[in-house]
Amino acid sequence: MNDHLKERIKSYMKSRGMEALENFSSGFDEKSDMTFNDGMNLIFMKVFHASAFQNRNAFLDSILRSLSFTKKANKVYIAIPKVYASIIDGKIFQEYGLGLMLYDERTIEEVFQPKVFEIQKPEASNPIVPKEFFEELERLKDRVSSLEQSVYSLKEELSRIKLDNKLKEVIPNTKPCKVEERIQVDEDLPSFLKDNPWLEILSKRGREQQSYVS
Amino acid sequence: MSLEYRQKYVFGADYGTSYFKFGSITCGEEPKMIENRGYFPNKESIIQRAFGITKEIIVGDEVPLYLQASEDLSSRLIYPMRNGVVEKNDEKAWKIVKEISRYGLDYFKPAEPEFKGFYLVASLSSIAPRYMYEKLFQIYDEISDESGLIKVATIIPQPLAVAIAHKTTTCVVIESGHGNTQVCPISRYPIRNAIVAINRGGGDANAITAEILKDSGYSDLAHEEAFVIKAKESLGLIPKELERAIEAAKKNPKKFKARVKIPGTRITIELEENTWVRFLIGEYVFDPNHEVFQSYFVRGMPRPKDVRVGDMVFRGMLDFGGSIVEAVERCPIELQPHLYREILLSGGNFCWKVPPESLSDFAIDPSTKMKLLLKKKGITNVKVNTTSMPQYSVWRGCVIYGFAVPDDYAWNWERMEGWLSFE
Repeated sequence: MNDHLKERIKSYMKSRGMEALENFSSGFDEKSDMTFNDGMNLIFMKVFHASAFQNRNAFLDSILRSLSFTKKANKVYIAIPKVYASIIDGKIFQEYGLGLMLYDERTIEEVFQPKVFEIQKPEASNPIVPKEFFEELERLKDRVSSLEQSVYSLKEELSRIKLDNKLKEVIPNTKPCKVEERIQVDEDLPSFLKDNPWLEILSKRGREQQSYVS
Repeated sequence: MSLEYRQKYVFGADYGTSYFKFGSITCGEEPKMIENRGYFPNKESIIQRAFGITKEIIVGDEVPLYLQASEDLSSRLIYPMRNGVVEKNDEKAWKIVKEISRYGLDYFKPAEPEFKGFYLVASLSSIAPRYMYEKLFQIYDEISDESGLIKVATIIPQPLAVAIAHKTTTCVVIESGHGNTQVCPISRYPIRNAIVAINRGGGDANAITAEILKDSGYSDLAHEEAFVIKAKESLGLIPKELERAIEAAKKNPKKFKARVKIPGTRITIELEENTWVRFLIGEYVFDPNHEVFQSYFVRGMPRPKDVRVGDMVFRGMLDFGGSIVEAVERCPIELQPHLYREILLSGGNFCWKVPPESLSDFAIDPSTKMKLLLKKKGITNVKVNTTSMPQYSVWRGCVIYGFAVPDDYAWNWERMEGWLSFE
């Protein structure tokens, strides 16, 4: 993998709270290209380049081997060039719990997240997190989601009430007539604004009696 | 707010049935245009996710990128407007209207820190019902809350915008699109009680063209709208006087011959002996009452009917000359001569090819036809013009309106004009 792409992926993962682990040994025959840790999970990533798609069988073989990472890592990502996205059926990836990332010259994007696998404890340097912690976290997530929904509904209702009040209001034009500012049209403005009798007429809207209206 | 602010931050938005034209005052002589449609992507599709899309609706130039060849488009690719109207309870359609509005405003979002929102002037069909105004204001309120892009907004009818763009303060604007035609007298304000609506437009010209193609042995082509439109544009002629034109063409069909090559195919349409039918296309648009059209109705071509949409009755068989007279005669008598002296023809249904010089004795342009129809009603001393740049007139009128109307002219549901503030 070229260094530039590696650095970009590291940056992207770091922005998502995942630090790269250098020189990490998976203990597998199949080597993950990159390894990360987010404080709770060990994450492997297999990065495919355009050349991998030249030989379909070799590509499939590599994908299948990558499945074995789910025994040693909590999460597994497959990263492929965006142009090849159309040949991938995402549902299969999801069924096997793999996450998918796409990259091109300018962007890196996570298409969907991997499942979290429970595995043997990761390396000693990683903190041990009890199972109850994750259960509590899930409960909190549900509560936050429910609160977000309530806030959204209240916001919509408030919007409707605000607009109803605005639309019902009939604001009489009680301000005294000002001396009209003569409409000056700058040279920079479009030509259709120039020499238009409507400018004078429209500038007097609300200041004269309508003669011909419905 | 000062004139200086408006010189930068007036924004025009023309909601046409087919295209949404939009842009700020700084975008020059022409607005940006996108199709008035939206695509609801299948969120389960890997392709949608592959391109990082979490949006509910796609609008604008990106829509074709998301269309998949195999999918059923009818439920996902939605055109929210029919004949200038969005159905009141069509949620998806209103979501699209909001999304294209947001898209347009975002496109021209300024970076200057002084920017406190646009002076937005939107335009709708003159027959748009009140609920459309309410819904659109609601949308603007939501957008303003979400992004601060709108300071104040107003909505004006399209014929008023056309009159403003053409620098004509007293006139009759006839807006003819695909589905219908509206005749709207203007005298510094739109004269709403005088509006006449006709249930006939470019789509009806397509219908008679399709019948002509079937009669001429091109039944397969008659079912493809794109080909029918191409044939209409290439073959259609507006007759100076229908019976005289038909007689001349029957006597000398070669003189009126035309060949239409369908691009990308080997198909060429030629009418051989029946070149006289070319005049039926033009005549039908302006006046469908001639007895020659009876045979088409009898054979199943839909006769334009009178329909009621809200408070407005759309007349099916009223000729364009009669519609102008009817509209003008609803106005004060002292105003009527002034209205006849400036008649503006606007919309795609008035865009016709200039007939060849060799046929000038029989085939005319839309302005001349209109004068002749009015003459038949006893109205002379009329001036009829076709709008230049018909696609941009409404947007330009919106920009001029936003530039000139004072801040303290507040929205009023009686007069249906004025600014609504979103600060």
